[in-house]
Amino acid sequence: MAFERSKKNFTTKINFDKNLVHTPTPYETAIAQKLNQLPIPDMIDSVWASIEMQLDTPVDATQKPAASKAMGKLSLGIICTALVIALLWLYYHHKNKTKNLIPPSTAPIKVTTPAIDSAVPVINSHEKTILPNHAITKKDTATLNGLPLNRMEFDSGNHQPLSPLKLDAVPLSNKPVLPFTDSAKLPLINKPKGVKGISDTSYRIKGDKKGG
Amino acid sequence: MYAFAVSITMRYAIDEHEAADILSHAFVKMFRSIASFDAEKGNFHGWLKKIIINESLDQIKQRSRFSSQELDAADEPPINNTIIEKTDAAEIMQFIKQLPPATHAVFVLYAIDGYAHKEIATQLKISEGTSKWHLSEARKILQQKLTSIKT
Repeated sequence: MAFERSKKNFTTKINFDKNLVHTPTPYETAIAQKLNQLPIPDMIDSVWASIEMQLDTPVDATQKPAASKAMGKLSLGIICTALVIALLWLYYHHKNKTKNLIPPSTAPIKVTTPAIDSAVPVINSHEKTILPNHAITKKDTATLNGLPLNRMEFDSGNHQPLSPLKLDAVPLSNKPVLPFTDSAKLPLINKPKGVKGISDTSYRIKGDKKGG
Repeated sequence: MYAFAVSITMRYAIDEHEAADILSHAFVKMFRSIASFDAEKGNFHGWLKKIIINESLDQIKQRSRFSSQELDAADEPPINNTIIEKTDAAEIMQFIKQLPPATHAVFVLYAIDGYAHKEIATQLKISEGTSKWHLSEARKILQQKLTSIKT
């Protein structure tokens, strides 16, 4: 029918703003009709030979590109996974390294105090102070008779022996007199701060044992 | 069936060699997927036509690219049908083949094989606007060429 219409000599002018509807113009229909009149070229032999050649080739050969594509994707996936694992390993390895570099938090040191020997002075390792077992009493009184046994033993470097005082008076009594010690030379007695193994009894004066 | 297949192929191919190439590939595809043909969905000729057109478009895509040009609406150039009637079919075919490849494909799909712009856009992976633009270009060029014959 369109071909019949096209035979009539008229000019077409249509706006082709139709999106989905296929509306060929009359001249297009005329062209389509004309193209059907085209002679069919004789190339059946060459076409058939080409078809035979393609059909003779194994299917695997034609499917090879698809297989290689799949393999490529698979290898890409494996590479990506390996990369992620390597990155994670590096991250955790680095994290552990930095952990090792940080010094561990100082654990409370258990000070094991040896059996208290009354003769040996206790050294407080924490405060580096010598804590004598016996409380040292300051003696301001002058010694009447210098008894070396009654004096405390100090480090030879610090010890400056004092010459015994000359007495200008007769002792009034026979009571034993404690030797004179310079208070400046005595080490300061620091009050221990909660050190284990040292109780109040450690500081008790036991003067009667030796002196008596 | 051979004549039917060749006539479709010749609209899209540049020459006989390309037509033979397209046709052989299309027939091989047809033989290999003959099991998937469902007579309830459509007739055999329609199925074969679709295979041939798809193969032809693949061939065109290999040798040319579809530029993105948008067109919503355009005035159709007036063409006197008498000129077409008087012109030889081979000459008209030559004019169509001289169109740019993408424009040529869109024109044949729309004007001869009866595809809508939406279908062309899906087939060629272009927008509908681009399809319209190619058709408009084809009409303009053909109108110029047919008018030149008249004069």
